Amino acid sequence: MTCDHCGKQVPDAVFCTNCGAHQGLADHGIAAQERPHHFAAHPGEHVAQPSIFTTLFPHLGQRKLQEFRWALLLGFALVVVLTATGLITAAVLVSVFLVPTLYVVYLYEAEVYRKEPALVLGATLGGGIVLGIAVTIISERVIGGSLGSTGLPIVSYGVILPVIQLIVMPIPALLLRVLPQFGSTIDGLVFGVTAGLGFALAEGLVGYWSILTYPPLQPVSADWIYPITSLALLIPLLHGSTAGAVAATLWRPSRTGSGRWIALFGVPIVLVAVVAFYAGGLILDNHGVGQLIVLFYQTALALLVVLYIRQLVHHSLLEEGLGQEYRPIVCPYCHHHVMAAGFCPSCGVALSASPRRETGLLTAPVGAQAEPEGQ
Amino acid sequence: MAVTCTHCATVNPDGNTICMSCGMPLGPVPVDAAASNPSASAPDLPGVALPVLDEPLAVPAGTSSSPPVQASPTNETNYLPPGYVPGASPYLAAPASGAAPLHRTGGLSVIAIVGVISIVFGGAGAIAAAVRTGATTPPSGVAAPANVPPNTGSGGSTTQTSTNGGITTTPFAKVFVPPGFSINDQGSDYIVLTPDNDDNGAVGLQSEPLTSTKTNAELDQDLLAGDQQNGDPSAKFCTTKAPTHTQLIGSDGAITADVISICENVTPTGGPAYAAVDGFIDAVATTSTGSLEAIWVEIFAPTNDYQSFSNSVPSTLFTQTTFSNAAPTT
Repeated sequence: MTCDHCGKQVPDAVFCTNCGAHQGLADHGIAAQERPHHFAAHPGEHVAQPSIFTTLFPHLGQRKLQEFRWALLLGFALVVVLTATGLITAAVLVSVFLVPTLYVVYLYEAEVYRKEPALVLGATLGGGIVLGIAVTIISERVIGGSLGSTGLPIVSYGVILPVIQLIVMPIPALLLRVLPQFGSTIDGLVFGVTAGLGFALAEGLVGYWSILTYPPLQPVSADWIYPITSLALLIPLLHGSTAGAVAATLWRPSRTGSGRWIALFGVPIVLVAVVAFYAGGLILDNHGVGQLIVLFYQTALALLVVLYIRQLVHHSLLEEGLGQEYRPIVCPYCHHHVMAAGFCPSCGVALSASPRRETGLLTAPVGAQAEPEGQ
Repeated sequence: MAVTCTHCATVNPDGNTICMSCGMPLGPVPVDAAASNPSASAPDLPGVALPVLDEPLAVPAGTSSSPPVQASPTNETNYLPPGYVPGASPYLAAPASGAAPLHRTGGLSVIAIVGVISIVFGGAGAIAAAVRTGATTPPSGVAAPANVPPNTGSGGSTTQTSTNGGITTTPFAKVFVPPGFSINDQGSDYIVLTPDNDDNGAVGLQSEPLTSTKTNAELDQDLLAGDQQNGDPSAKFCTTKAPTHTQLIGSDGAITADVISICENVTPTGGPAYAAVDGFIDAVATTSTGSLEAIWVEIFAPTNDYQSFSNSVPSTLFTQTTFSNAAPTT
């Protein structure tokens, strides 16, 4: 059949395997082409659905997603138990390592790093950790010293430091952009998230160093549950999503279609969200607003960044999936064995948002199938 | 004019460049492709398997559950993917046995990995705490500085030694731990220091948001009320004289503080009651947003030891400790 939108001869299916458009809806125009009801990385979700896992772990299929969700849930449950029983040092340690560990497992599962695991992990996670240690220690000294006495702690802790973090965090990921095999926006996103999580890990270790070295003897669990929840979930979510958003935005300077306009708003959106996260959180806290409400407020801002990422990734995947080679695959989303190019003709998932191992599953021997990008 | 596929014999409508059944190019079969895949010339292949689904199918809402998916080539008409056997089914056959597994992490290994990591780090943290505190489980119960009892020797525990002194960062202050003092307890808004060689005294520092406007004198009364409610209902100021004044260091300037002492009787769990003095250097500070908070340093010791203990607290504790986000009230 001929695709309603790109005009290519493609297999008769629900989605065009060349451009990803929803077939049979020619009169729906741009809506069918951009298919907002079918997020390119997870077609079962709307693009505007604020789903953290399918956004920041875009390569995972349905079943693996559930495993990762359960793993995070169980890890956090352990953190809560440790906090409730007064083992604050243990709770802090588990909190700091929980999400970064999960993400490293994800990188392994999805083989996002292709044949360069040491390079990618060293540059992104390692680079993020090094920068996190440096920025946190320096900022402690500078803001705790000269800037702290300026009378504007909200400006220094709520604006200056977050902006510096936002500039620094994606740098390790952006360095990988020079490698030709990592050309797609989703690579930038994942590498940025990894660098952000490395930064969050280091920041947590440095920030709570006094707790790790001087464990509190008689802690009141209620005092610790919010800071530790923030340490375990909120800060990794914020740093991962903001660094990922910035890296994904800058990954491809030249875009076409809707992705170009969305990318223009990327850095401003992230900047506003980060400043509102920290400065707004400080102001609310200083006005005696409950910590639970502050937590919800900050989570909402992090989800705003997640929504931006979904828009950018969706349109980037639709753009970058065009003109790919056909190859036999097991679709990682619907698990049909199909011949496909850029998108699964059955469910519409963008195959560049799929584990390399899975998209090349039917092509034996391994390596006989050329990778789509970088050719 | 209809075109018959040379691979599967399906009759395709005029204009098709690829077979709508098997996805192979319509037209002459390249010699290389035919030779490399002998089965491609068979008009119908018995035994071509339906796809094997190893987990429930997840199809987006609004789409067909079994779309007729067909293979399609690229513009390179001689492209024949390795392993691809065209058949009657719109789907490709399942991969041959021995093919690479679908997932690199099998079964519940993700949960197992995170569980192991959590247990390792959690265990390390618990062991570290146990080594430092001398107990595997920290004692439960509120340990606000206002109620800190003196250590009792054998049952007491010292967390760490600060021989040379140093700054420790807490959410509410950068606290100078003087030489010879250790952090005994710590929370998000308080910290308790105890001397390494003296079991009978403790120093606490705390910050607490105020929900209403207060003066230092009103704060003094609140602290007295706190001691009365939490320990000794008969607690009272040790002197009827007006409080003397000193300064606490806020991140945004020095803050005038009251110096008061509260005399009370303390009844430790399982131990005899004793008279003690709870001394406060307390102040109302303002934050950058204009809200108010109470900050104080508390020196606690049995009455007989109070003078010597308070004299042993070095002034550097006050001069080098900075309360965060705290400025003088206007």
